[in-house]
Amino acid sequence: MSLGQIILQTFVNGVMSSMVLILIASGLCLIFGIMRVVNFAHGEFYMLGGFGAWLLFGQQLLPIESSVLRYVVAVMITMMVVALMGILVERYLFRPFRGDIRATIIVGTGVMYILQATTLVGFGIRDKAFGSPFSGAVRISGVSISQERLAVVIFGAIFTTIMYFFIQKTKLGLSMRAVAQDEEAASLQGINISKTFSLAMGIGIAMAAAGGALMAPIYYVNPYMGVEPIMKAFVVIILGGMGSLPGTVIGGFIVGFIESFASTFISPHVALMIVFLLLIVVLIVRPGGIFGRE
Amino acid sequence: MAVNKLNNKGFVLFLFLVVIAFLAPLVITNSYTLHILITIFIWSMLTLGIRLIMLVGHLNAAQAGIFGMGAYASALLAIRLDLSFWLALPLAGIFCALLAIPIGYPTLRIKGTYFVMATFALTEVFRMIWMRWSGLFGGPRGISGIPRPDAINFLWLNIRFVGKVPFYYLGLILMLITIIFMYRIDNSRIGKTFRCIPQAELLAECIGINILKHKVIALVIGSFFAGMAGSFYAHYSTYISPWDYTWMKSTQMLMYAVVGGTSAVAGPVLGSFVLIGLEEWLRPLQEYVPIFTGVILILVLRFLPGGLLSIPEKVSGLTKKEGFITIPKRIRAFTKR
Repeated sequence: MSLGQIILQTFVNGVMSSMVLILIASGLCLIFGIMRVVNFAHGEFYMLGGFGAWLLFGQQLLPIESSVLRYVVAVMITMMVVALMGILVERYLFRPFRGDIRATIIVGTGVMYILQATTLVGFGIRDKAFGSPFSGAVRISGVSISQERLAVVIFGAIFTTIMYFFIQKTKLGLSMRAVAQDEEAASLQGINISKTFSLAMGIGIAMAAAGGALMAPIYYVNPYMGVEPIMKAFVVIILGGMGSLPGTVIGGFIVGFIESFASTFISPHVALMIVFLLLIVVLIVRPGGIFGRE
Repeated sequence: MAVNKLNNKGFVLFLFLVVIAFLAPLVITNSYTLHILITIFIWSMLTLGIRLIMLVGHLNAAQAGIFGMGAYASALLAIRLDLSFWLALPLAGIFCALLAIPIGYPTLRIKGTYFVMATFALTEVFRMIWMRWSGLFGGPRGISGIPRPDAINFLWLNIRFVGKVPFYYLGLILMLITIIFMYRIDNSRIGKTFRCIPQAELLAECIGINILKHKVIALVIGSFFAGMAGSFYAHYSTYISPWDYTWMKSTQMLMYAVVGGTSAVAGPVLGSFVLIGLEEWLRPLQEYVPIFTGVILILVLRFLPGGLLSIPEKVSGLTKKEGFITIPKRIRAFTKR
């Protein structure tokens, strides 16, 4: 492979890892922006998404002929089920600590322990791999892009766009933004705060589950797969300014590209080091994030 | 009533527990039980450090990274420079304390939520450094063959560090030093200042308290003891690897502190003792253990915001529900002065 091809290939990988990061981070960002909850268990919902896809698609539980359709349905069902779990977690575990960010961080770690151990008990420690319904590769000017990776990018872009338009253009989205801005004033306008919280948590968690379900066929599924992405997702939302969706998208691309290029040309460890150092530098220079308002 | 001073009853209880702890190895001969107790001593030191920075209103997630830095520093001093453990131990502490200064000044400036994430990221940065530069740090395989402490030959004392018992006493003494130091801090002027910072940051600044400086001091003290704990751990287990110091370990320390309660020095020690003891007791259940600890953590946060320490007060029904960290009334008066 020539250098140009390597660079192009790295670029494609960068787009894919950015897309997954954006899926995870946008949910995290939504939850923080609206509820002021730093959801430390977010990576575990990503992991549950992966397990959902493995269970429904990899284990062939769905009676659908076409494998692509079966995969899409599996992802949808996984998103809904995991989102429901997220809503329950928010309602019964996070809500009693509203307004106390530090307490929610600790509760989040508790939820993290519980979810990790539960899946470990249920499914065992062994990595579970299964094939993607998309096989083969697309060749563009000498660079081969595997279809499974392309599918991640396309699905990720679709989910993020739907979420963005939901928040920007619908009435429910408007009420969510109103709650994020001023809870009290929003409730005076007749917005049901509790329902808005549940909705935000549901959407945020569904995005994380989608990320997990999309990545599962490419890598593998295990109970601890959520530990690393959550750290990177934190970096993304801080870079983007916590609570800002467009910022999160840009932050996701920054982190995704740094990671893929530094991994290819230096080493994966240095890539992560650069990402985390970047976070610390940004926090020191611009505590509100690159696109934050503070 | 003083902020946190032990009354006579508390002092007697403390002495009683110390005597029991010193006599324990006469009864406990099982080396596995001793190992668990040594682990509890190490984690108590770490958690006590985390409590101090919690008092100024921050959740420090870099403690696991600092712990690792202490362990690596001490191991390298002993292996590369042939230093004795007795010199490497304080040097590792001092190294970590110094390291905390450049970490603290920029990161403690930022808001609490961001501080947590920056320190989590820092722990990962440290880990990547140990993984990457394998020539010095041994990479993912870590460092093995760390020498055990040299024998002590002093007057009639002749202690050789073989088996668990000498390590038990060394760990116990290190933990007691930490406890006494933290207790002295709690009751000094600086400890009172620490406690008033999260209550009214602006007010504290207005009456001339240098908030950033105090936060950094809290971090430096906590890091010093974390470094010592790391050094002790490295020479006790004779093997360290980057996987011992992930950010998950930091969440564990935070958990012990919260479950034990942060209002007094006894809290983190109690939390480490109860939770590590419980994990060991439940060990036959294997994978189910984190479920129990997670549930206990959430239940404690929900129904005992002051941690296990607040059980006596809860039982006698004296206290009203307060926030995440229980602050006695006198401190409020102090901040309003």
